[in-house]
Amino acid sequence: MKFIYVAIKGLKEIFRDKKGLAFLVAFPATFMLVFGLAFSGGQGENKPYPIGVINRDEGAMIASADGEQSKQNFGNELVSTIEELTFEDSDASMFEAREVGSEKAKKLLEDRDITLLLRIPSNFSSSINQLIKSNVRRTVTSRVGEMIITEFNSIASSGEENFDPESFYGEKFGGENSNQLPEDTSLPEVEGITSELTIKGDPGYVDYNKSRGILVGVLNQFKEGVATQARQETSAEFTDDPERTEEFVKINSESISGTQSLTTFDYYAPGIFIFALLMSAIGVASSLATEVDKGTLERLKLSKMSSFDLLFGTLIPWSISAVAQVLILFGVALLIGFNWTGGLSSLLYSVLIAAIAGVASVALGLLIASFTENESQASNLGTLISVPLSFIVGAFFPLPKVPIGRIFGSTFELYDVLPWTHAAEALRILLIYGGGISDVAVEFGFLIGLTVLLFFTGVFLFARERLTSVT
Amino acid sequence: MDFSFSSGVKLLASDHYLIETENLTKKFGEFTAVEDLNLKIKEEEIFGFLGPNGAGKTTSIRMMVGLLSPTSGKVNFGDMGDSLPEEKVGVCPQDLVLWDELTSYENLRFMGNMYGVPKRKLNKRVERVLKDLGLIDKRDNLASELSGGMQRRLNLGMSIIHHPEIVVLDEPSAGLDPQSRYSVWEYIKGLIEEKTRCIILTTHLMEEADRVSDRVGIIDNGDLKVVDTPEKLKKNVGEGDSIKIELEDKRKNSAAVETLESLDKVIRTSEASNRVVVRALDAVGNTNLFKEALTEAGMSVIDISISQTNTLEDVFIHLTGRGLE
Repeated sequence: MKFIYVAIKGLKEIFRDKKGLAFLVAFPATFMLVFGLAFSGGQGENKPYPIGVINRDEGAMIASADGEQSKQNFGNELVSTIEELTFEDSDASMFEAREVGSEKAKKLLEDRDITLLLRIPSNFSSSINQLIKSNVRRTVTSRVGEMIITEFNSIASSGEENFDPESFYGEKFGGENSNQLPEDTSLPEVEGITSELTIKGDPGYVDYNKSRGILVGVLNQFKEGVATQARQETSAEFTDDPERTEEFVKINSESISGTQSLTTFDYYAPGIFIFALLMSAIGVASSLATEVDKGTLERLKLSKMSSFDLLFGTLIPWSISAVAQVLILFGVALLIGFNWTGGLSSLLYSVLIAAIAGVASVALGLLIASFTENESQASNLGTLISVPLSFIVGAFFPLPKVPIGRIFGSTFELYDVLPWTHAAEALRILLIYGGGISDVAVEFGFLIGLTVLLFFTGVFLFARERLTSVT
Repeated sequence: MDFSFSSGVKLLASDHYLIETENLTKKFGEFTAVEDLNLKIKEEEIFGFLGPNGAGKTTSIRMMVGLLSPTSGKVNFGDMGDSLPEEKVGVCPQDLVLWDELTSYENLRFMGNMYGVPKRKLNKRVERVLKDLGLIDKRDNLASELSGGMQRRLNLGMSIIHHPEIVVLDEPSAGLDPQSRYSVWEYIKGLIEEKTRCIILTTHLMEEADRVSDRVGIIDNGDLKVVDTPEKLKKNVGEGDSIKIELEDKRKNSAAVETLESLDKVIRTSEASNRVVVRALDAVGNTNLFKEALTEAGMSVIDISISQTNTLEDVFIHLTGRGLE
């Protein structure tokens, strides 16, 4: 039962060491605050990307389906389309477009006041006109061909005597009955006009890459929309059924359950919990290395203390600290707009997962303390390991897939050998996707298994390196 | 039974040996820290290891209480066999080994708990140790907030809170002011009058070894030179007074030793701690003679001190030809 005395001593040391406490709580809380302000706008709302537009489009005379000519400016239409875009299942605008001059645009880009600059050339409407004509031409030729083939097949299959295929074509093209085609059927001439839209920005700026990706998709949709409209209007001239439009592939976007109002910060927040827990490993390693360096560990070894007393006595206060850390960070996250979609049970399960991840961090601390002689070494090595590990376990962003096998029908990634990867995933499922304990059963299983493995490895190495008698 | 101060020096010790070492040797690679240490420590005695820093004192006591495995040799603990149960020994390390974020009271109580002292006894013991070591007013102060002297006393208290039978004190008064040092010595002597069966202390302070120890072992370069009571050791150095002469040019110390050696009145000379040490009869009457001889040989004397009673440093110089510092 001596581990209880070691645990009480450990708790007193943790909570009385103001610098250490600041490192354990204030440091991750600051991270939380910074990420919260940067990625949630402080309100948990989607923020529009500010973009600059230089629209030099001069417009073009466009012929409608009934042959009337009117001047249209597709550049203006494109800008309006961009401005009207909203985030998925939200009223929030996706872009905040503003007309700018070339010089001002450069300054705005450099200052990152706009994420990108869209330059629409003077011949944009002309090129769109050619796109329309091309689609009209293709639709007309297609429809005419279909009509002829349908009629030919009909006559041929009826068994009509004296059917002469050669005279059939003669009738269609120049014969007496050649008026079977729609009146005034003419094919528009297509000129080779190409316009180039330019998107300019800083590829090193995350928001540029995000807004550029969206904008490229919007431009393609705009182009496809114009073409589709031209084909549909032309088709309508050939049939009595205006509903008849052909659509071979339809794409719908659906949000993952519970994520409709999620922000980037919501994804980060559980990762920051894991980041904080990994920071605990530095505290554990420093604390144990200090015991070694100051000689207090030797003093304890001289008493009747067993390895079990020391290790479990160390485990308990750091696990309590881990739970306290997560609860404090959870509070900070809620204050700055974390969209917690789970209920109280999800919070309780999250605390349990945090406690287990805390045990994994204690194990990591034991490993580090096994190979360091003093607090300074432990702190440096701990930081060197824990910080990169935060990224490797996906605390901040998902890493490229590195599959190493399949377990229980699921792909096992290289990062999955680390318990914190599963803790981070489980926390996300519980806290932001509103999942229950059954949804995290696999992650939970891996977390426990890997933590036990890591803990016993840490215990073995620490006992071998630091608890055996000096020779 | 709890401790109390004692002002008396223990004069008699039992002839029953509590610790016996047999050819105890410790090597670190090619370096031999302690070689063939054969030592018997009696029941109820305070045994002092005297020697300069790096002489092998700490290595010897660490092997004797099982903190360090010897390269060869063995230790026997009388009726306790060849291994010492943890609760029977209390070690006060030379460095301050305290938990900075615990108070004086908590540090002592934690160690008591770790040694399995029953709860009903522990509170009384902690309060008594705090009182005896002059720390009762600092009971609730964090260890990190105590002065160096107070930390040193707390360090000592933590090693005896469980009432060990054998107490090992490694340089117990290092860094203490004279007043605190005297208090600590009295406290150590008080321990042996209570439950403690023997105390082993290491020191490089001849006064500490002289005033606290029943017997002293002088160790140098891992070799135990002599073991006896301080009185006998001092007596064995021989008759005469000790004169320490400091020259302006320390490079001439060897020449001065040769010059003085040739004088009839001189029993023997040596060089220690950058001074020339002369043992001679009637030192006061012959001081001018020695000074003139050195001046004639072209040496300038800047200080002469005379000691008419032998000290343990004289013993050390006699044995090793060097000073303790």
